[in-house]
Amino acid sequence: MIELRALTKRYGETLAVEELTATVRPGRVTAFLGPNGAGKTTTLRMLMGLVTPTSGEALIDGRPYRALREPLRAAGALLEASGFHPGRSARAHLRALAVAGRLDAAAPDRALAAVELSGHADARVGTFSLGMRQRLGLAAALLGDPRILVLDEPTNGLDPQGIRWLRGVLRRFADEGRTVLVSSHLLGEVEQIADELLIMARGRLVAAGSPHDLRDHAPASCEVRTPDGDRLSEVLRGAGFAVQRASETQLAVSGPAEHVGTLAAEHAIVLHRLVDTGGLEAAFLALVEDAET
Amino acid sequence: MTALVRAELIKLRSTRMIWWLLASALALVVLAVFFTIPTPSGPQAPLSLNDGDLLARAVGVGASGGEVVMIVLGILAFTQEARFGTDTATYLAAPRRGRVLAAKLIAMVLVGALFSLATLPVAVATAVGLIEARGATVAWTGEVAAVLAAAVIVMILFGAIGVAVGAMVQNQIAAVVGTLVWLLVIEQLLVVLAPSIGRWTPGGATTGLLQLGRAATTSGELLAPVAGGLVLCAYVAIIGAAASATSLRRDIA
Repeated sequence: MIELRALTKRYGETLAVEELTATVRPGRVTAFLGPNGAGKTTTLRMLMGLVTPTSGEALIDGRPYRALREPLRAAGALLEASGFHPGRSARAHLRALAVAGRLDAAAPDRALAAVELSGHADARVGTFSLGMRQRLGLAAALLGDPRILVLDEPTNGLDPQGIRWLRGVLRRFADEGRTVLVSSHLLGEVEQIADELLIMARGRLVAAGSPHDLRDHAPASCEVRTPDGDRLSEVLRGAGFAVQRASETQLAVSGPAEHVGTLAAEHAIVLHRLVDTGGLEAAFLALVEDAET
Repeated sequence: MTALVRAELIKLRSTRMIWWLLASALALVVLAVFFTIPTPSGPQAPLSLNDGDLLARAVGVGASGGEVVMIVLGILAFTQEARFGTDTATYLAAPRRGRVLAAKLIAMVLVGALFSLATLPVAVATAVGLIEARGATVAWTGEVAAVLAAAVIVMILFGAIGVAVGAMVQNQIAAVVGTLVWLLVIEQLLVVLAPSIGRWTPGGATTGLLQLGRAATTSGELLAPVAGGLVLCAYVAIIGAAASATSLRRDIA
């Protein structure tokens, strides 16, 4: 379990993270969402003992990371901007970490197998593609077979197959009763596997809950294509909806698709296309926009 | 702590850097010895081929080639981690950074001893070969053994000073260039121009430790060997403590 209590980080005049309080529970995949610069990375680095909070605390199984006796067994992390020596082999990189963390001698090879890099164990990391480096970073996170997995933008550099494979890893991890916290600035990447969402904007937590809870708060919206854009706009505005004209024939409407369809039928306006654009994505964007204004 | 020291030794062994630095150390040792042994016709050389302590002095000077490499290797222990971003992984595995500093110091002490095993025999062999090739007889005095023992201590302590400096100044170029300018320019001037200050610098203390002072122009101005060694230890302790209190606490982002 991860607990964040009034976690705050100030850089000079800027509040990167402000009074962040949240609990991340085991057995679920928790997605940590927010636009770039929202403070996600700073939060995760405070959690992992790399950045010292200005105030508040971040606890892993009840203790700050720096106070954990066997940190690699408690929590594994893949963090952005963490790197590799290009002249060192993948296996040597992991071996140094496994020895420092007092893990068993087979841990590096097990982790390499788990991320499907066994065939490149002795290659220098300098020869690796971005996707292979990302896998090696994940191998380092998995090295201690930890109870908690913390991943910061793990899909960077992964191809679509890699992303699907990663989703499988996270799902299995959570199903085994472990804790998964995965950050992303793209809702679409984590929407399918997230059991819980934490949404951050401008350093503050703006929403927390299941995707279902959040979808209910989404403002309805849809996109319409019609040969009779002028008349449909007039009708929809008359019914109280906000309408944006993308072109002569395309409209973005802040209202549920069912109402728009019904109104068009009542006024005998031909529609060529009607798409519901509400839902989680809209809820996410609305929350983030609210926080930023 | 043993585990962390082993991890540091794995890091050192697993890149080519350490072998390049060992090769550099050997090359510098040979060059330093070569330019210390006078030629028979060389006029007004500070040393003559018939000096009884020529071998000891040549070996002492040769050791200084290795010590510069050791301080650079020590600096790289931290700055390479900062440069390649491996510090994140290092502190995830060992979140208490003071322990990482201690492990890097101990690892560098071991490496300093191992480097000495490679460089000092080369220094002795080069010196003996050159003295004999130039027609003089080699005088094996007790001083040679003393200088060799002192040189091992210097190699070890320079590596340790380097680790402390790298912990303090984690920008690799700034740390390496600053240290080399200090050792090779500023200190050399201080030792000659203001020996009362110069003898307390790492280089001055090293000269004292290596017992090279007797025939030097700054005779009497240098620290005794034991005091020189203690001064070098004090540099490790002071810079290391300062780093623990400041730059080692910084946010890793």
